[in-house]
Amino acid sequence: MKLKIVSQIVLPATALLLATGCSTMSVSTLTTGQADSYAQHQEQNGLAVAIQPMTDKREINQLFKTDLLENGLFPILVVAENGGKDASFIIAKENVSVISQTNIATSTGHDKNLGSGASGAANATGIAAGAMILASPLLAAPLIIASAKLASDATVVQYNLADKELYSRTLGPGDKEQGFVFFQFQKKSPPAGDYHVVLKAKNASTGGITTYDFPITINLPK
Amino acid sequence: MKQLKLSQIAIAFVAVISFLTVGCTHMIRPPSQPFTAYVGQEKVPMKVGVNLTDDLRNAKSVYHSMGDTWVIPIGGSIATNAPVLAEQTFDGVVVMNNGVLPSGQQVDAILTPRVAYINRTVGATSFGDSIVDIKVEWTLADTSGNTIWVNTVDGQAKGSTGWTNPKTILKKAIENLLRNSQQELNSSPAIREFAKQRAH
Repeated sequence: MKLKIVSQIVLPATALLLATGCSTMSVSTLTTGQADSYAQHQEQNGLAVAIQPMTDKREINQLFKTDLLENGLFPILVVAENGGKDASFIIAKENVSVISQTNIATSTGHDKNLGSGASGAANATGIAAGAMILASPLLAAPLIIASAKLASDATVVQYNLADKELYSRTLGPGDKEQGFVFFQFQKKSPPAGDYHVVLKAKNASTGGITTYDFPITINLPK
Repeated sequence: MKQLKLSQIAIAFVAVISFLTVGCTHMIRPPSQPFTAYVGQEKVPMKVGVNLTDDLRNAKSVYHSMGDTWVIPIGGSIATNAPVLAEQTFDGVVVMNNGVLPSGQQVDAILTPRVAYINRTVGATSFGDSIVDIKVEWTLADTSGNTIWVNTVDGQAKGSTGWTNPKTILKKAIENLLRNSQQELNSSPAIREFAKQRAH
């Protein structure tokens, strides 16, 4: 009798519970193509860089398991590939900025983090008027966690964000790096209009800076 | 007398509420001894200063869930492991405290570790996966502060939320991080190139 109860009620109920509401949120995989396969790409000195702003809510939800735009975060995918034979290039999220068209002429001259290590916490260029502020998913986590329905989901969402972020890396010949940079905006007045995504890469041996400038039009869904 | 009883009840009520809402703090401590089981590799011929900062030593993960707090004090472990890892990778190693070289010492470059990220996921049930993920940014700069090489290295390990000791998962994640770090440091063309230039 006991065995019958276990096999006919308890086991199916447990299986149903695990398969539906009580299963742990899965982590999505970020797959990227070669830099030159993106609409916005440039190649200089052997280093190819591509960017892809993400504004589609459904796509964002699918990849990050949360609505980043609703939380005031605008994700931009960066793909960098070193196709050269000798030089190594340093890529860092602190050296990616989003600047409005009207401020581009005055703001791109700043090279805050490139000279003495790329471990700065914030992008000073991004704080200039008309520019967007670089955000860390860790700092934005309380916003995201507050909107997650389960404690477990909150940890997985945070892990998922960190997993897909762009981190500092030196690209040797043949190396590729990809990841998202997240920019913070005021939910009441989301950015709209013409902007520039500016990325600066440093040649590891000569210290020379290569600037990549991508014009984009931002039109975030309301 | 009646007033005294009411105040006693109020105190007892506050005490019970506090007890129910404060919760516990759980420490998931990394191993106290450094990891040593590195794969033997050809060392980079230069002397580095391993710069251990207070920011690194104090790095930790703090996570609050349902009244409980989970703390992973990772910084001390990375600070203990960094010089051992550097000794596996470079010919000479000097430990620096907050950017200060010991007197009489000279180095070719300075290696600074920084905890960029640490997190522990928990499953929706005790059978669900728990992942510990640690990312450490290693910056190698010359003595003038110019970055020669920087990489953010990842270390992860997975177990069951309720059935694997969290310390075991953390230990595996740290070991994974250190093995990956050794590989990244050792295989970097930028570091080898810098060492070659220094030798000439």
